[in-house]
Amino acid sequence: MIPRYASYRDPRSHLIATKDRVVRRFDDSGASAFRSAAESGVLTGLVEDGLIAPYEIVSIEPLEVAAELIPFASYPNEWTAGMLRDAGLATLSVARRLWKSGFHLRDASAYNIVFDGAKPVFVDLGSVGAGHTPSWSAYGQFCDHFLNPLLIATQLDVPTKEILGLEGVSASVTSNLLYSFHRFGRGVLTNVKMRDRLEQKHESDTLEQRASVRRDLRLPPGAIDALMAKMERTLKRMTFGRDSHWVAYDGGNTYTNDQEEVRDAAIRRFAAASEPRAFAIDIGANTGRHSHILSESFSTVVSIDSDPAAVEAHRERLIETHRGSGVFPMVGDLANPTPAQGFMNEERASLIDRIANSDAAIWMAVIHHLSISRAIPLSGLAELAARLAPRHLVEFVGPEDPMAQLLSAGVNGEHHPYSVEVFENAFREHFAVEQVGQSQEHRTIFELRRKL
Amino acid sequence: MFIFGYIDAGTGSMILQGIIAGAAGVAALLRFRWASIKGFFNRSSDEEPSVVE
Repeated sequence: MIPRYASYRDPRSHLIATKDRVVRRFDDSGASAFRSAAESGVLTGLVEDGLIAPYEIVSIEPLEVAAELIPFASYPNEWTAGMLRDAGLATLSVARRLWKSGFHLRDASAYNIVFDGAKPVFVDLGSVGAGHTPSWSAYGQFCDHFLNPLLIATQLDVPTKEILGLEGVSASVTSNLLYSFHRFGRGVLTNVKMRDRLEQKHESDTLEQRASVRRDLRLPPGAIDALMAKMERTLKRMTFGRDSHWVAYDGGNTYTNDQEEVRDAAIRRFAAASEPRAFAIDIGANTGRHSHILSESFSTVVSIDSDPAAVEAHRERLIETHRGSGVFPMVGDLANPTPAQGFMNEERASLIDRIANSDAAIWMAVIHHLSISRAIPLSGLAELAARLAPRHLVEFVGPEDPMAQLLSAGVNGEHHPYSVEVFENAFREHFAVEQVGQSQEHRTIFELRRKL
Repeated sequence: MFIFGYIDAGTGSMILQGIIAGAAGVAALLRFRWASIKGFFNRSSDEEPSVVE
């Protein structure tokens, strides 16, 4: 049997448990690198600065290291460009700190970063390697996982979720996508154009030629740190962002203050009935107003929105107000959730698998989008809801509502049956449905409890 | 023998690092030279006493 949970690739260590704590078991060579890094104090420093999660050695022979489980992991193709950049900067910080202490980071996969709320944390303790390498061995992977998708995002205004796969984006794809004038963009000429050329040129190298480069190329440690520092500057100077309709929506939507208060109060009442350490999802979270209310009662709130600009605004607000942990903003679309990826489709779990069996979910004015614009029958949404959580709060936007009419006009009125009655009947298959509020003339708030 | 680890570092990517590091080295050298040239021409003014007693 192969080691499970996304950790089979590294031959030197793998995860043996991911239930309440994450436990990693090392082989001898992995163990000796980890031990000397732990003894040197560099790991303690990284823990203190929040770059790696606090860990504990739970077995000496074989070496097993446990760390607290971050309750939810979004994946790089569910991040905004800002999140990808911050994850890249966190990776570089870890790599440079290890390097200064005489160690190296063996890889630079974006999947080694997990966002604990708004804050990137490096989680792969097995990536610590002993000594210095003669070149930055993870340079190519760093480019594929961070720099290339960020360049495509910034230069072409393509959301990272549209282009990111499990292995990032290769130099050749990035080079083909970028126009020739982009070569003047910071980092493009060397890291993309030249790298693509050189990779192609050496693709057909013989074993002898490969070995000779690996034997003869010796960069001084200072030069390798300078390469990483240069990459850090390149990422820090990136700017992105396009105004989003939905970010503006948060400030100037159709709700009056009183109507907003009706929604907030309904959510507050709904959340108050939760268990401690409960896990909630906010579907169509926009910039996080309702997630914040949920977070007062739920220890974990996953805030899903399909608009990267809204997610980024949410995350920036979390950072500004230092309300980092417990709320997990991510880019996601329940009409087309992130599929399972990797070997045997088991390396990375699907979004549905990661949020199924939550304790509660809220759907504030989002079902009309999924049903009318995305053509999902209300019975399908009821089935999804039953899989996700036993309790739901739903603000249902009736067909007479101007926004629902607008969406309906977009599809020439050709959509699945859509009305309060159809909604109630569909959800009564799985839930007890109770009306708990009215936020606007055609917007009704329902609380749902799953039937046993 | 150095161990590069389980990810393929890519021959082209490795050679590129040599080139970038080399270019950075040349740039650092030029900066150093430029500083020493500027220092040479600035020397006369630097030598003037800054405080007259």
